Amino acid sequence: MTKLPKIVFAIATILTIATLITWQATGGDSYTKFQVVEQVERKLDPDDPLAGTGFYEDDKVTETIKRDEFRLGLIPTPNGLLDKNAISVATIVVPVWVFAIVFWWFMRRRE
Amino acid sequence: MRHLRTLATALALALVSTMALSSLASAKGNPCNPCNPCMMKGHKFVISGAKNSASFTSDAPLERIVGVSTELSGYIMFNPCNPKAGGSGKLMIPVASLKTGIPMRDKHLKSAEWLDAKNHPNIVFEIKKLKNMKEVSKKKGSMTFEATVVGSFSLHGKTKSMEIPGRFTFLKESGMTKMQAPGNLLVGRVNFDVALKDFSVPSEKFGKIIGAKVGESVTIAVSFFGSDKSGGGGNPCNPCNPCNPCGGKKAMNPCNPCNPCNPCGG
Repeated sequence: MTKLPKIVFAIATILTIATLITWQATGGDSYTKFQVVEQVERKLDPDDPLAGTGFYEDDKVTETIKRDEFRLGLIPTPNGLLDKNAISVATIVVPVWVFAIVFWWFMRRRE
Repeated sequence: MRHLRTLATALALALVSTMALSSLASAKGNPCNPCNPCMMKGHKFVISGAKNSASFTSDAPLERIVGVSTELSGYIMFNPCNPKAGGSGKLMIPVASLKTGIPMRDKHLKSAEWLDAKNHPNIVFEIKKLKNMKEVSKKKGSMTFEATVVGSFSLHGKTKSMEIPGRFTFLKESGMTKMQAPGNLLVGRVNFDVALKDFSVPSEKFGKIIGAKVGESVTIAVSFFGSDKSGGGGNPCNPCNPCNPCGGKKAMNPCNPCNPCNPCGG
């Protein structure tokens, strides 16, 4: 293997590792999200007018929240080709490795 | 001495009759007296605003989906002075307002194969009555009840009768409640399960997804707060209500056509 394909493989490996780290750091979700809807448990705020009325059974409240947060997923969730939800581990890693392998194969044939 | 005893008796009688008359008058005029005809149907607590929400959770082996809508609206008729009388109301969310965090999934959810937002734009829960009202807590300015909500749930063009447990708290207007909304507040929450097949969701084409990626039933959690001052016109005892049957010259006229409790009808 010549020097150039080695560099391409090294870049592909670095990109893959960086993508996997980002995936884990943003929650390790299956799907890419720019908005998160989830159930969270929070401690009851003493200033809540409902605190102490018996409305909540204990001092914790479970609520469903919607917040803007980026989560890189394994699989993209695009509504179109240029949708930002097209970004994902699969859509970054797969093309990078396809390019690296095609490039290596092309270089080997030239040799 | 005899005159003095007669005078004392007369004075005592006058005092007793004055007290009796005044208590009767205050009971009649008191808008929170459960015997007051204008309170027979209760206050109308209007539910609107982003603080109200309805969420659903689908737990399946391959995926957990949580969706939410903050466009819950409706009303609850409830008499805080006579909670045992129960209540009625209507809660509604537009299907288009459901968000799961993934736009592509939201699009599928609204499609004809799933909730068909085009033909069935709203999810409605009609509360026919509140029964088995049980007081959980009563404090100065607040009352909390557990109740069974009897009603009908409409989704995807199908309606099913349901009886679900709920918890309600009535909060009298105070400095603290004013930070949330003006007026007296009625806060409630209900949780219930809905079997998707009862509402023909999804279409046969997607039937295989049920049980694997989408649960056979979804858990719905509704949390709301209604105010008797939002849309003040609805509150029959609101002094600002032009049709207020409790005030003005037409005070307590049972045949006032504006009186929602008008026993004369029309």
